[in-house]
Amino acid sequence: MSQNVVLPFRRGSSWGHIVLGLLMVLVIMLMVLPVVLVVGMSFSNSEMLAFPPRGLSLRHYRTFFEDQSWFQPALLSLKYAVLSTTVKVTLGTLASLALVRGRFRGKRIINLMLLSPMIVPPIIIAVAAYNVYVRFQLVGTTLGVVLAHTVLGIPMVVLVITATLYRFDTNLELAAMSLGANRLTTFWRITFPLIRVGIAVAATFAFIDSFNELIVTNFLVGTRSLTLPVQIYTGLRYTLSPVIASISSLMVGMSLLGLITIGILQRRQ
Amino acid sequence: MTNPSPVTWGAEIQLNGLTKRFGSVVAVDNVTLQIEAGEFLTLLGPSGSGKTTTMRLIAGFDVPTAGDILMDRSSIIPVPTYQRNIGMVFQNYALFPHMTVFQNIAFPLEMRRVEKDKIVSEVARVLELVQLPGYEKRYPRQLSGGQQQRIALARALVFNPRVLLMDEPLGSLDRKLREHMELEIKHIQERLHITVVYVTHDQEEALVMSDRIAVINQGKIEQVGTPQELYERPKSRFVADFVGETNLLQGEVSELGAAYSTIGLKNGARIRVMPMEGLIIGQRVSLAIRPATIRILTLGEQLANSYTGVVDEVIYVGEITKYRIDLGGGESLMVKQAGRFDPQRCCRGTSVTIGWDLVDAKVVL
Repeated sequence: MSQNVVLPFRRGSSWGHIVLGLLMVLVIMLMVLPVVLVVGMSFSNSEMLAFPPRGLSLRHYRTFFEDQSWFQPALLSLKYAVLSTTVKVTLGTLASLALVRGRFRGKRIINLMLLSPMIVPPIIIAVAAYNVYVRFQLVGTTLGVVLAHTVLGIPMVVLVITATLYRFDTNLELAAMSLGANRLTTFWRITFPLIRVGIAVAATFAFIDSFNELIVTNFLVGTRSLTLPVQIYTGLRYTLSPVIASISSLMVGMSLLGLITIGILQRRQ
Repeated sequence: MTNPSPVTWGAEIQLNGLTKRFGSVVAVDNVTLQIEAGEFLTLLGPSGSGKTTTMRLIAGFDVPTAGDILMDRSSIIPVPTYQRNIGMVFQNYALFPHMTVFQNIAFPLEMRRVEKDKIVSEVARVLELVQLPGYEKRYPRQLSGGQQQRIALARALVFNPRVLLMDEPLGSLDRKLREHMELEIKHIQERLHITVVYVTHDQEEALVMSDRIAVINQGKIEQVGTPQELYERPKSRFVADFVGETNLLQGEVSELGAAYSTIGLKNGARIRVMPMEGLIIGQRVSLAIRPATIRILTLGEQLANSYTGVVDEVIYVGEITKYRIDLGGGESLMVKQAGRFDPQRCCRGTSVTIGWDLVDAKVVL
């Protein structure tokens, strides 16, 4: 039937589509199942990580908020995420404007360099950064961690915002200026409102990236002020406390919230 | 009435030796042009001819490499775009997608700090002008192409600019709507007495709307004149070819006379033209003959120029029929006949006699 060609997902289509459907379910299961397990374990009443959970309780969530060795790192992660997101988005927006609108020599090279932290393995960046940081006494400092997170997150921010800018019709700015708006007014009244969803999406990703970053941060935080992922990693090496499951669930929840926000923002556009 | 209508509200614009280079490319090459106050002037040319760049220079989007732009005799080069007070309509309309029709049209008034009540009444006035009253609350995406076009026009007119620039504004409309808008824009321009500089590559559009047309090719002005002048007395091959349909023939001046001169074609045909100063025997020239001025002659009919040929192709377009007549020796002519389709002349291979008056073959250099 020709209809099957036009609408490949109609019911009663060939074996190929059934196999494709099963494969899709399998992939989604692989992606979602671990998260479901972790969330399940976080509500357990036992002292050990186990699935299925034995008895339901919120005690591990309470432990997280009451135990300073967990809650302090969470606050620290939040601080680093807020600071580095601010820096990433500001610099990333400016860099994107230059890359999309500017005409200058070496643009491609600069573009490549801005994206390079995405290509270089994080462990390499970690080791290299550590060597530099030791010399400048940046290990364990706020400045050090925020700088590192900025470097790691810039590629994503630049990718999202340049994509937004490429879609932006510059005639709109010319029109605004011909109608009597100066450059600054044009930016705030025309350009910014039309690219702010892109910026918000980039910021959301940037925040999640920074909050969850482990590999590079692990090298650079020193020994006293640990971020939440580093604390979890350290904790996992000694005990398998269900508190870790509840913290993970909270982090998953936060990321999910971010993704939903992005979805809503993009739909409204 | 808020509509300012002295006899001429439009400003006069002069381009003096205007030049714009992008690297080694000369987009606009030493253009000098006087645009009268209240005139509808069209810059007509193929894409890449420099017409849009010329307009961008007038709008202030680009800075000229050399030359000057005067508005009412004073240079506007140092004036930034947002203070030039020149309305502009873009090819893709450039309506602000995040604003309603009202907000779009109010934008230039807000920039000029016009008070709220006045903004409301002015927006209503221009919406009336473009025949879309009551559309204030719509968003651009909820409008058709033609409606967006009108809103863009309303927005460019609401602050009563004395000059309006239009960059291929009808390019993306369908034919019927385009023809309607051509007249409507022309009427609005006449009503407001503003100066319009209109850019297009569509010669028909240019002929219908313009007081004068400047034909631009490779950054230079080929000819400036009224539509009639350009159509009937093209000064160059390019103008003859670009404005209206034309048969272009190559030949040599073979005879100079008092009543007529003669041009010899490669195939041996000799074509009589009006005597013209400056021609020399043996000079190589081009001949431009409009397909509509050539007639298929009836038996025994004689014109200053008549030749026999064979119908090579027949194109039926409704009100008119086009014929390609093969004159032999590699020369052929397009002939356009208005009126009822004549089945006797229809067939390929039919032998016919065609002819035209002395004035209809123009020598262009």
